[in-house]
Amino acid sequence: MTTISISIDEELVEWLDQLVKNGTIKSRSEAVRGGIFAYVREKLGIHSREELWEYLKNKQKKPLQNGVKAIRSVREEE
Amino acid sequence: MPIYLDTNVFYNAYCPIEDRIAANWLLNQISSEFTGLTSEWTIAEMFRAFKKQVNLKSIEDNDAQIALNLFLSEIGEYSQKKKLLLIPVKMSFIMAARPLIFNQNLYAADAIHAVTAIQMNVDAFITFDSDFNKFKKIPVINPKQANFQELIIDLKVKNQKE
Repeated sequence: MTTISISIDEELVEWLDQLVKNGTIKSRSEAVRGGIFAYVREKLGIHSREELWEYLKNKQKKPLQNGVKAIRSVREEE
Repeated sequence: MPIYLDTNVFYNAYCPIEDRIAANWLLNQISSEFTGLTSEWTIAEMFRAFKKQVNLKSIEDNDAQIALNLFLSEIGEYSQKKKLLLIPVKMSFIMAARPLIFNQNLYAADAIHAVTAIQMNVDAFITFDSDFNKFKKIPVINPKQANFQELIIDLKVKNQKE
């Protein structure tokens, strides 16, 4: 794992530490890592696989290949 | 022991296709007590599979990127929560793939997935692809089987007892 330094408000650090202390989260790092995944989904505007299905259903021009066909074609391409 | 998830399980879970229901159900079953496992190579195959859908003009590039970013964000989170183990393609796995490629005529990627599952001592290899039925070293479970959910629940219970 790589260690990075980030700027964060003192109050937020205090709150994080309280959450660590009362066992809600394991560590500051865990909170930051979890936050990144949630942030990415927030930015995508799609929060779940169910929402993605709806999105792609509306966007697809023709049906997507099923998994066996799609992955077999990846594995067998020259 | 964990279960191995083939790439088509992830692909199906992120596409609006018929098989999404079983794939989604399976991904919702894995937990830190009932771990899913896959090769890191799966991620590259997902990239290529979605690029192929773009090439086939089914979806736009931007939509493929959105699907892949959701996939990466979710498997990252699963991995952090120890629900999913992403196994690197090690040299020892590549060497172990050689007899599978020569004796069973497996494609290189199929052999890497198979060897990863064997080396990691998984309970079952989960795939929608019936080509893996010839694979005898580990039980292969296809989510299309009628008793699929029952088999997974049985494995889950077995894991809890261990």
